[in-house]
Amino acid sequence: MEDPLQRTGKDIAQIYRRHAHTVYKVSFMLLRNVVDAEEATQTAFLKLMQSDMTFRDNEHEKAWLIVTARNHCRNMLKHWWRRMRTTLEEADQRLLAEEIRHDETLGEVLALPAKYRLPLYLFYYEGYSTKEIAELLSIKEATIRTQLHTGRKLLKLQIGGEGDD
Amino acid sequence: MTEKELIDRLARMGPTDKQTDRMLERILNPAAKPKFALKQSYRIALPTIVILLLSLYWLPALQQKQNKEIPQLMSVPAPFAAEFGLPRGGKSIHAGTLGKFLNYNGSRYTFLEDGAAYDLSGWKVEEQGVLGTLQYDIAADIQNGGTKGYSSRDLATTYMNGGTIYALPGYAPAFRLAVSYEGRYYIAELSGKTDDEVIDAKEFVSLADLSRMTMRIEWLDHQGTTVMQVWDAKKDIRKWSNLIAESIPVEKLTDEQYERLAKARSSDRAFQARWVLRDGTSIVMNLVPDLSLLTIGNGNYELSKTFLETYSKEFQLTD
Repeated sequence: MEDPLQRTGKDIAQIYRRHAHTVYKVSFMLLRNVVDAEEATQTAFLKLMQSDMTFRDNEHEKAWLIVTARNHCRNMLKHWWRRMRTTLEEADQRLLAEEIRHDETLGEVLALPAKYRLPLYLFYYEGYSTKEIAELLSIKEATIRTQLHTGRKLLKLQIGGEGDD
Repeated sequence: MTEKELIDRLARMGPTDKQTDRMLERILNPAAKPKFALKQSYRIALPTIVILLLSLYWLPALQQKQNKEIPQLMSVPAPFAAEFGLPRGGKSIHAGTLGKFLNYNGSRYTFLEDGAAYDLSGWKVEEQGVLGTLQYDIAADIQNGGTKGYSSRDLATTYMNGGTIYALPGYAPAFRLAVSYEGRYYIAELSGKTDDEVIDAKEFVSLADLSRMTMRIEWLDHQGTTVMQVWDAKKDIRKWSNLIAESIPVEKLTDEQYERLAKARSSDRAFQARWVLRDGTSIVMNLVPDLSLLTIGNGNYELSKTFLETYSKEFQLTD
């Protein structure tokens, strides 16, 4: 991997191309909002630019970005203003959603409580095992399994259980 | 729902190619002023609108009486195409790369609210006399290599080319101008000099008449989303105005300053001071106390020691 202290714009662009979609999707799963998901994605990569972190490989790099984005999203969710603004922006969000042609049925997934959304995304889309998700999110593996189980139940997901990992 | 359906839905979540490119551009140019796309302008406009509504409810009667002397500048809803930043005013708009500004009399003026139209009916703007017609398209010139030098030429613009410039009643033309285009009005505010020199801070404070026009000053995080402190007492506003006027222009930042600036932004050590004016508009200044840095319009300034000492308590808010 490249020397972190010498990461150029080109290096960052390459890393961005590798992981931008994952970081954005993680952010969107948590924030359910196009504007904020973009901001969280940008912040994660800006933090990478500022970081001295050295990565073992691409997977390590990706995991770091997921955790950074997730932490930033959690901070954003804590802000009183965002909570207040969400309602006001609903109409705007509808327009934005049309603009980027999001599938309406995605709403079913996004309607799940926050604690189920990210584990489901990481498990089914990114292919992480429950153990890996537990390490990434610093949550007990048993809790992740329960969250996946409940998330599946809520989605009436007709697929296998924790044995999938 | 099957697993395949779930994965398909997650795949459609985005980002689109357009979003991907936009985010990368912002990551690689973090110090650049954000482009005011619809989403961004809403982020700025919504807090302002809500705070204005709250303040209208709470303002004492006396203050309302005082405000009657200052007309309200209300932006009006733009047509659909305009809201989405689609071209208006012909080919002059080069949305996405250039801000919306015009050059007049050696100064650069930035359009308020990202070029939103304002309801100036009853202001008798036309009676003020024409100051000029915007006739040089900066975006087109830049696309052709900037050979004509429009970016520093008077009556050149990136927006509303063909528009007519008028003085805005009640404001110094050196501070704010009205632009009329196809029956709608736009307002442009002093943001710099056409030769890229920095405006004198004292001159800006004086032209904007900040001591009189400001209803309150809000201290926000650098994204402008969280209000952390508010000053609304007249003496505080006057004190702020005087201290900001003492700031010294900085012609160019060093590479080290740019690096520290990026670091300050990413570590929540950069802030905004929003001057909420009695006419319903606001002026935003960016501050990075750790670097003693202030921006007004397009210019950078060094904050005075007195300012830093006076407000050092506020700078620790996010620690």
